Amino acid sequence: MVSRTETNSPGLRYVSIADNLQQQIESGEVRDGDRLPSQHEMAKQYGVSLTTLRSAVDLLEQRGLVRSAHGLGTFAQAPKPGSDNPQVLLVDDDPQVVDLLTAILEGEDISVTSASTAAEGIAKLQDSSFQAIFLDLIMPGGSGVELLKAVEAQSIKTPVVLVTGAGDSNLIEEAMDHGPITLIRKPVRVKQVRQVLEVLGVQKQARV
Amino acid sequence: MSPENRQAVLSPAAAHKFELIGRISSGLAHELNGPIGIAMGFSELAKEAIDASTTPDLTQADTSKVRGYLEMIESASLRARNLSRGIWNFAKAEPGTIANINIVDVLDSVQQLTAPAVKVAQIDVARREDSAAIGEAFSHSDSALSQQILVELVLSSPESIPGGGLVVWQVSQASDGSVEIDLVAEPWNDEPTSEWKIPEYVRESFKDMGGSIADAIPTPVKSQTDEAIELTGWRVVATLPPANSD
Repeated sequence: MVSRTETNSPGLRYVSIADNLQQQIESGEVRDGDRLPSQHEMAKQYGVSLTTLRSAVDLLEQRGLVRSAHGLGTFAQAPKPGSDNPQVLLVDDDPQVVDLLTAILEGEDISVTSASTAAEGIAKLQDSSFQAIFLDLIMPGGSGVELLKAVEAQSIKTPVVLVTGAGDSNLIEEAMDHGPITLIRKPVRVKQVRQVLEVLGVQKQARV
Repeated sequence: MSPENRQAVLSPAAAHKFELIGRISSGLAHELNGPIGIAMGFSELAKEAIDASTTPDLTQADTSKVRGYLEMIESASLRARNLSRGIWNFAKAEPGTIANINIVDVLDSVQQLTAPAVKVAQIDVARREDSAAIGEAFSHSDSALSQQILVELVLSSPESIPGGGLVVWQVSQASDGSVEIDLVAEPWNDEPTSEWKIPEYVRESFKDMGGSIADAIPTPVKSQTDEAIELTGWRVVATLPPANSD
């Protein structure tokens, strides 16, 4: 059974539907091998067009979480342990920035875990090993420097990419006291993010 | 004209407004980077998706992807428009017209105007939603002036919570019909706070409008990050006159 939950957040509709389905597969609510409802039914459930729903299924296929068999339907696939997709932690309180960076990173076959506060980011650091951390500085409840302190205290060697605005120079200086960082100034440019990924060796495969 | 000369020829209210526009604009310039960056980024991705399409006509999947990117561009553009519209309305509003105005609406626009400016000090502005909160509270006041003094009041909050925090506001109506505005500066964590000093101009303006503002008082607040920590915030209560029933 596919349940429609939490898909009205701002952002790309097909991405949020894919995220919702991914959550159901990862949590076991939808089990490995389960046949998903027809795309027509799911489009109706989510209240979107068939085209949008197909894009969500395409994205899930790219993430390796479903497979489509022609004439038979779409089947859930449990996430493979030790998948060779690099993992990136993305910490930013602006959902639109998260959407943009997620679109860029997933286009590079990178799996994204996002957090909207430094505290949430610190908690997610424990869950997984990341190849890079993309971090905003100015966030409610504590700046990105709090996360950098946690990274330093736990001797985590993951490279940190600060994605921040021009007015944050004091915080940038403070951030630099807690280890090496790479800096991307907002507005974020797609090419710049890819260059940083290449320099840090985070890309799964080089872009031609 | 030098700032000193401008001060000499402008009324105190107009001089303060110039100063406030400068402070708000600086925060706004920083905040506008967000939606501009989003629109630029998704434009790049949309162009790439079109260029990478393997057929002369976009497939349904490509069309949906590009449409999604365009929706993000539209939404970011609307966000930028709302930010700039706020300061435009604030800049053109002239004090001098007294009418029955909804103070909740005034504070909503004050929140929108000041949020970018105080965000750089790690401060969020938010409306407190609890059982006492009301959506309408009318006062017979000068709309432009009340907005101006409330902007100045919120912009004076960072000194009281230097480690960042939350400025929460709430509006209620007293039994005599006067409108009570309650603002609390709450720190995020256990960093020290200091008294929220009310600017003299704000104090005088409230008096001129037939209202009042009391000195800030220390008040216990809940920690946003750790319930075990006992925190002190600073509370400011101001009143504006009741609505005119004529």
